[in-house]
Amino acid sequence: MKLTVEEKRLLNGERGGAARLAMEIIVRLGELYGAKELMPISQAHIDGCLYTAVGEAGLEFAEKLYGLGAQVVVPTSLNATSRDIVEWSNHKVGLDFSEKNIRMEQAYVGMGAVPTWTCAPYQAGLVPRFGQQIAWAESNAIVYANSVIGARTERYGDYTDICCAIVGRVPKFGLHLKENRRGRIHISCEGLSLATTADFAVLGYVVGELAKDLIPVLTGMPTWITSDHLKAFGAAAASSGSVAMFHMVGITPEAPDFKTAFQGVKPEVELSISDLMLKSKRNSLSSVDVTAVDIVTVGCPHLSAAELIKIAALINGRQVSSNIELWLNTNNTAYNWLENTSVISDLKKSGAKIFRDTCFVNTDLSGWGFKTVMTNSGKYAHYVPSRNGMKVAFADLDKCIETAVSGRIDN
Amino acid sequence: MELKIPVQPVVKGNAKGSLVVSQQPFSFFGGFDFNSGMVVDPRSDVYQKSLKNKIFAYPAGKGSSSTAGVILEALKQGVAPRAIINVDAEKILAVGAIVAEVVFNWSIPIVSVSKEDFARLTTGKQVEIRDGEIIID
Repeated sequence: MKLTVEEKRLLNGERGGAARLAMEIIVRLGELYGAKELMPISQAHIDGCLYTAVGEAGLEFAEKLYGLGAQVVVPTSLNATSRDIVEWSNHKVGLDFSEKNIRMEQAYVGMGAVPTWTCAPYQAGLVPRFGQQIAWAESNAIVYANSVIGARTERYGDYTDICCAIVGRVPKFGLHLKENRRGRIHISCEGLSLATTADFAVLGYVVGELAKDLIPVLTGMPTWITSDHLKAFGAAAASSGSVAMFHMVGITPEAPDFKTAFQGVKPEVELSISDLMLKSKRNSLSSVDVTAVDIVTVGCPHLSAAELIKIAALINGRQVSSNIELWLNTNNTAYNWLENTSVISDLKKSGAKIFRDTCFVNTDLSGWGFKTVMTNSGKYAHYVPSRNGMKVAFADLDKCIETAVSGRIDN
Repeated sequence: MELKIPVQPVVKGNAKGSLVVSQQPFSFFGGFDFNSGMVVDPRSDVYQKSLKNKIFAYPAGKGSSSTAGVILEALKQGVAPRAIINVDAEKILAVGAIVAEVVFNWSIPIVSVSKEDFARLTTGKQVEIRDGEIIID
């Protein structure tokens, strides 16, 4: 690989031991992908701070880099941590577990990252611009940045994310380059009945399974689709497949029209999705025999301020049933915006628990004994059975809230 | 009879062990428990199989960017597979293997094979990955 004078200095340790390790990993990464050179980035998002995902090895890695004096050289946001930093002890999170998280948080904040603690950084402050070269981790954030914003990131992950931030460079490859961002398969969505966030999650799940790692181009999407719909869609598509980017003609910025989305090349595959396919996938996202749930949990990816407002309106002054928990996963940014409005106080009065900084599948649930979960998140429905060993009922947000209030699933 | 399959090394190294073969794309994040070494995704065709010290073959990776972290933790806990065989090499996993080598000095070779050769792999067979090929007993 062709390296500049400064890159060679980083690699041979003249900029310190942490930069040397980070540079070696970035160069090996580039070789793996056949990159000829590196290129600068101007922003990063770190996923490796999530203790439940990276465990002891990830903590050792973070503390090793921090101990070697590592500092990020570009604005860097942080994904969720594994506890609510303020309320963790009220959430039955163990002391030992919390302390592991504190060490992880201190290492990453110590390296100069911004403590955003969210999986939806695109809705919480450090938002890149169209065309900006960035190094983001967290599959839902990657797909959103590439597709909805038109910023350019490859699928970075734990460990490489912080290395990119420390050296401020990435290999010149993949989705950083325009020619690799063209659509490959056409998926027609004409005439589909889409209304709720859960509908878009189901659609995303189906698209992920169809597209695998090819960039899909969807036509026939409604123009009223929101940032929260796109968030649910992308998160599900990145869970069921390896989708790192999609185009929606007339909606996303690199797809003003069909031809541009494919960069003038013919689609390799033509597919269409029917309401029947969506219905069948929606059914399969629920475990077969769930007739009651212990907890309703929404906010995967993290709830936006708009979604918190909507949930407060759906609860409408009622109380969460005493036999059920309602957990709302969000970030501190959305929470702070709404803290002095009635939204947060109404939600708290209802008995709902608001989790900041973390989320249901990544915090310590050992004190709760949940067996069955209801959610409107396609990503949760995908991961909860395997990661948490619980059964899932997948439902629209209004049904989730009605279930939490009544304490039972009404059909 | 010994069978030799040519491979493209993605992360170099040698390994020996018995095969666990899945015919489906696999995600280590959510699909694998780094405490037990077991496959925990009920949708997987190798659900509840242990990957500890096995050579794990599956056609391609899918899912979360947390995959590299999961494989490193599995290496730290001593429950990781000894090597990975893919058709389409899973780059995020390969990154985990590179970090394992650069930062921790742990080895987990990753190789890719053709679709036709992948079809010749069966669970339970003893295999060795060495010098650019897979040797099947």
